[in-house]
Amino acid sequence: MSPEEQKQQFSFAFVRAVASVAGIAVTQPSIDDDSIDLTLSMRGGPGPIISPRLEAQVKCTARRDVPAVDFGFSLKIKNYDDLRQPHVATPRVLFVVLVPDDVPNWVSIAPSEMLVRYTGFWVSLRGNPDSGNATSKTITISVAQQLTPNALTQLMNAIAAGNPP
Amino acid sequence: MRATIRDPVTLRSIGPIELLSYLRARGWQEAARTNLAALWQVASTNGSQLEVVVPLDQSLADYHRRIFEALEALELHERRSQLQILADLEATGCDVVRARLFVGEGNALPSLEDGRLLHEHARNLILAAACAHVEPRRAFAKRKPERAMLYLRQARFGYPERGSYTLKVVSPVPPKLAATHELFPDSIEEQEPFERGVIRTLASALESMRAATIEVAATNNIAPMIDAVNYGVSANLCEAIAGLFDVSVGDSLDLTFGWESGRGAPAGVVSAISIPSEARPILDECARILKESETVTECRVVGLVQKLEHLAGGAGKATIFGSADGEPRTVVVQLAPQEHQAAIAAYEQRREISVTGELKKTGKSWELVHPRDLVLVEA
Repeated sequence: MSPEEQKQQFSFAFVRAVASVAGIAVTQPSIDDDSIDLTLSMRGGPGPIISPRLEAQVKCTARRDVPAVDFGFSLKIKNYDDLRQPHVATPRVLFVVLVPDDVPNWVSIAPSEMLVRYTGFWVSLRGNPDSGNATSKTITISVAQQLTPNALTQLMNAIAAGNPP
Repeated sequence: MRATIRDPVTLRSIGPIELLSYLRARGWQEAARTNLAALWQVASTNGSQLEVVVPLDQSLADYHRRIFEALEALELHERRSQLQILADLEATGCDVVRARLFVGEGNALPSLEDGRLLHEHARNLILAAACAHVEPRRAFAKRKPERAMLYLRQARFGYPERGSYTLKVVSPVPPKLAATHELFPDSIEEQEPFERGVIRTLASALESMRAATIEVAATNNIAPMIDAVNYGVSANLCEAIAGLFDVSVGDSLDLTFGWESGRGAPAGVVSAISIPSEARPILDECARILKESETVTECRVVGLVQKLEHLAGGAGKATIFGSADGEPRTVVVQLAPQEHQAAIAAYEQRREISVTGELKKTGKSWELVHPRDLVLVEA
């Protein structure tokens, strides 16, 4: 398995782990032509949309540490353009999962616990302007938008209420 | 074969109305709706609730993804291939006529020339039914009723189906809407849409024609076929079926009808008709007799005056050789004095004349009665 495949598999597992705690189902769509890696869905919700759904592209990047402040992330222009589409039936977000440079440090397993390093963040690019760039676009990831079970639940509840991210 | 449809163009070709009609016809129910999408649900066989998101705007960036998911859900629920579901979606909101043809050994495909002829005869078959639905006649002249011609722009050829070569005509039908008593206390009379009337006429005409060919063969008398004119049979219909037999080498021509689910099958109409190939010569002869026994209204005759005969009071009789209703014919026409003078001038100047009237067969010759609008054609 290539390092990139390892990162993808790990990041997908990270999202699934967080979503499962939140009671949100995760599926991998079998059509992949516009930057969507995972579909998240939930039964019931507080708003008029009774089965909220969210589509996500998942990126994984290795770093020496977790940034304490908002940081830049370079996204291929096709991914940027696909994710900034405002006119979609199912809202789209980007998940960025950070891992240590050293692969064995991604997880630590003790008799009573498993520690996963580092963490993930989410960002919505919906309605962002055309960058005019040819190959990539650097976007800002807010450290306030950490990918936690609670954050995912809030995202799904907002979608259910008709307020997509 | 389990095929998954991933082509965005194909997926985007399925409209929201097609999908909604399909789901409604199969017991799904709308559970929620926004201005972009609707959620439809159905109880699956194991008791769980299945969901489909129906995108309501084809310009949505993820429209094809939602249709892809809907097809996946339908495949799972119905245990049918996506190709079958796609074929039915294409026919949602439509009556469908299928003509099963045999164009060669095995799964042979028609040559380009045969394909052209098949489509031409199929078009003429539908046009004959549309004309008969406007008004039953033994034959329809080259100039067809406007409503029938308009209908030809609405009906579509469907994608041919594999196996034996099946030619498919898809005829969109307006949905049957429920009108509650609160909205319309005086109740609006239900009316058959023209589109549905055409396909119903086609089915009844073909069944009547099939039965009449047996009677004609048994009695050597055209009368049963003339009786069938009331059910939509015409020379044009007979010629179209005979034309399909020119290309299809099977023992029979099998036609089936699928009816738009909201309206269901019309009463008293057979939905599967098989016409044996032995009927071909009978159809040819019936077409000829029906055509020659029908008066062609508003028929324009254009040609050279070959013979003139003077009658009392300055009137006259002209024999014109040229084209009548698109067919080469020799036509006799009786003219008033003024028109007779024009015909004499045309004869002397060797110029063609154009005259309109009702064309009918009298004995062995063709006669144009009630002539009008006689003019010399510009050289």
